[in-house]
Amino acid sequence: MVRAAISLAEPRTARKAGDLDVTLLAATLVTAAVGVVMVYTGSRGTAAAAGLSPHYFLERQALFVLLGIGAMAALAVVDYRRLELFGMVIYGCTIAGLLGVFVIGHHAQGAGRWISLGPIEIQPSEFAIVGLIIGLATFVARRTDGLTWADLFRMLAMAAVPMLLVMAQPDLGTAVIMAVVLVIMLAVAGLPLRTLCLLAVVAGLLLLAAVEVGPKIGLLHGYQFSRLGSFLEQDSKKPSIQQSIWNVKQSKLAIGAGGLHGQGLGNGSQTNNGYVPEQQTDFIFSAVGEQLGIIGSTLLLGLLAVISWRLLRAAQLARDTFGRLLCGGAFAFIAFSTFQNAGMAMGIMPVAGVPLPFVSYGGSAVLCFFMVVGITLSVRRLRGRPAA
Amino acid sequence: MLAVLLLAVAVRLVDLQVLHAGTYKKLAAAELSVTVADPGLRGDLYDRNGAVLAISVPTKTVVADDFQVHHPVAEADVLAPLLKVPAATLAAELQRPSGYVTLATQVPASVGAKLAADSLPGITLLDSSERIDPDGSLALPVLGQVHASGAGASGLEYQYNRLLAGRAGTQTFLETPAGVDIPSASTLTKTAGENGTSLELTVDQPLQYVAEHALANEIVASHAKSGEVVVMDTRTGDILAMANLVSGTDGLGLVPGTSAPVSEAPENLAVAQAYEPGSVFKLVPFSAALQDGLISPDTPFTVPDQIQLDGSTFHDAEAHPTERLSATEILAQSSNIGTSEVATMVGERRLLAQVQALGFGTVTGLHFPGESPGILAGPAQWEPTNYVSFPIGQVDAVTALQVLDAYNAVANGGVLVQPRLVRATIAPDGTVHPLARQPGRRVFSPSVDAELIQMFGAVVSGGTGTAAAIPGYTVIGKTGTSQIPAPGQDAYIPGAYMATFVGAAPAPDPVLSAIVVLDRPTPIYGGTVAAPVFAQVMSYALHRYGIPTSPSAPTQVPSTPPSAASQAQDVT
Repeated sequence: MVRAAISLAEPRTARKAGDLDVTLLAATLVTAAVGVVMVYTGSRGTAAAAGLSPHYFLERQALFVLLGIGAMAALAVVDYRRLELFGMVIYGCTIAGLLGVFVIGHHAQGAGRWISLGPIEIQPSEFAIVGLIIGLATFVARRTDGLTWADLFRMLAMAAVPMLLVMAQPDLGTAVIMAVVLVIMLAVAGLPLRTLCLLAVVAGLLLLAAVEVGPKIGLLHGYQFSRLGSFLEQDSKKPSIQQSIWNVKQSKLAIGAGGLHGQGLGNGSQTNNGYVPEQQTDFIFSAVGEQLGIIGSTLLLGLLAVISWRLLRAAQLARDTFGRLLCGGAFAFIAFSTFQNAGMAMGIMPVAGVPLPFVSYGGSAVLCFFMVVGITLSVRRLRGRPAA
Repeated sequence: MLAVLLLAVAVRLVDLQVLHAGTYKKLAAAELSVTVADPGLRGDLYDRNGAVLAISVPTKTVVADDFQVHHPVAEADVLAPLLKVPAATLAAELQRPSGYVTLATQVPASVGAKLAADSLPGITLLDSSERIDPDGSLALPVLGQVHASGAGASGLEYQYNRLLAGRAGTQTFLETPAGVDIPSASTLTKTAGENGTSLELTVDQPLQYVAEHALANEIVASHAKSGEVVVMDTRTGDILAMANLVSGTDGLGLVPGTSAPVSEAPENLAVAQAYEPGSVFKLVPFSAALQDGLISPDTPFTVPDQIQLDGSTFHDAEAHPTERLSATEILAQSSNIGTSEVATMVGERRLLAQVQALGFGTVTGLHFPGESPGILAGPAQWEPTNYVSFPIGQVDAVTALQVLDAYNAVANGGVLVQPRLVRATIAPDGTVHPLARQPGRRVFSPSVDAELIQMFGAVVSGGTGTAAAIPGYTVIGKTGTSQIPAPGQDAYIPGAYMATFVGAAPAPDPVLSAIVVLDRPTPIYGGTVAAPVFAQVMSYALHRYGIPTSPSAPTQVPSTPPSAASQAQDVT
């Protein structure tokens, strides 16, 4: 894939200017629409039980999607190469946002991830992924003579800073996404396979060390290990395991009970009666699985696969390194988020909460996903144009 | 790479939603459904004539879920007059963040119906029942009590709990994890339970009432600590009355119908309390000696004032010159030295065997909760001085019911019968199933029994038990006045005595037997405090059951209580 990306990156004959990737745009909009519906069915009861309007989450998610579409449109219209001018500034701002969490952030469910700006709550870790993508792309784009070992270490450091900051929140899921984004972008940047393998070995060793040392220095939390451990023992009857895989158990049960065509929108016995926790956010895939069955869940994952494919395609078609890396990062971000989220809901990935792109409830995430699609649309649109 | 991820997800989707969909559907359905027990109504307790002694009536328990109550003050105002709880209290309860607050228990069904019609949000009515004893605390130590849960806690309520409780039905419905019912047209299943079986007791409610009153009055008059009266049907062993009372107001409730400061005992003392019976135990040596042909009622004995045994000197309770007494006179005057002479003739082994033959040392057929088998000395504990102390009831400890049952064998022509408190069960559909009686066991031959009746008759006609006499009936019986051992010491509590009278009427073929025991009365004598209670209760019973008077019986009985001098020898 890495080789392919590089070989295909030769500029082709430009077709007509203003080339819009209709497939990507359509898939994104349909997925977001499905998300709004699923957020509604998944949150109606929860909202009512919390004394809110049953439409509370529906209205907010619809607003987020509209804002996201606006951001996407803006970024698609703007020449993506302008981002390169501010690349490091954007990266720096998102790091500042992460630091801000520790100063003025507030906590929800054991994790301090949010910054309140009046009625709006921002989750800087989502923006940090976008910041990392733009930062890394900018960095590589400026190394026209290829990457040296020193460059490689600088890139690793660029990724390590936000990763450590989100892990300290603690938000393991986002850190994992960042790691995947880094690896894919390095591959897209043309890093040789053996160097990547070497990095993978080092990363493995570091992970091992983190598992050993992490809890002692407060970088990782006990519950994250119980989740990782319990992932490997899902059928264990031990109470501690049962407790930490409760969400996954409920989620698997709901998806399995959906069967072929599902129990019908709004009729999920588990998801519409509050048995699956966090189901408008991290576990929204179980609502899809239960209510829409394998037909619905396959269609949704198909839409996300199409989006991923178009992002990858955009990387291949990009006219310059910067654009290629932006699209590669966007691909890594969306494809891996999808896999991690759906995999967790089905019990084939450990519990580390990441949103299902365009579907999970949450303004920051929705905005960020739309933003990377917007950037990609810009890359696609301008692939035939000379540099400004 | 994208393909690999897609494949992994697809395989898992098929695995969950196609291959194992059935399993997960079942698991999901099971997770939602909640099954609760729906207990049947507890069976009732009736006396032998069908009078209600304990009955369960359906009530409601009112609980609130604050999560569903959005207008606590308004709901409290509606509930207050119905539940008879101040609205302010209810409003506070309705706002308690608990999800389950019990607002009121044992709410009458009529009020429950009104509440159900109101259908206030967050208010749930649970089925419950209330145990009602229409006669108040009458016979409560026998009937027993029920826990707040409705399960039997003591007495017959506990012993027969399985029958009384019936079989719980079940209700299955769907619930959210927060415990809120999910309205659903399907899957609400209900299996019917069965109400409990009722019991028809052998107890005769009016006689129980009379026995309790007579005993209560005597406890007050003699300042006794506690007392018990048991009346038994001689032939069947049916217990017609079983009164257990304690002085003061700390028991299970005052004796119904009196203002006397006497209450129902916390336990069934007649079966739970083992005590040294004193002279009533003389039945053991005398019956054994008669059975073995060692004595006849007229056998003469020379009874000195004191005897030497194993280096110790034993006195009779009161000093007297050496006398010539027949066996009957020894029993009637309750001579301890004379009794020890009879016991010595019988011998150790025979005495110990006779104790067991008369039913001491094992629980009676009642198997009442907390029933004591008594405490018997075996051959290993035998000492030479036991020839004096054992036959006069100073070694073994027995229950009042065991003493009554042994004397009932005398009254019943020599056949020991098992006492019983329940004579029939009544199925929920009303069918009565009489309970089979255990066959009796002959312990005395008819001729020996006739001699015993004659000898115990002399106790009442001219011995220590004259206060038990009833005009028109020949009463037999025996007095006992026994010291109370100090707990944990090899000594008796100074001045503390148990006063007993056990007997039957009308001789020579008694139909009723009874025992009266008083703990620490003043005066101390069984013939003075227990015998009059026996006469009152037995007289009422004989008249109530229409037992014909006998021409040979005395029509006059002593109107003055027996003198202390006449009782002196009874003390052991």
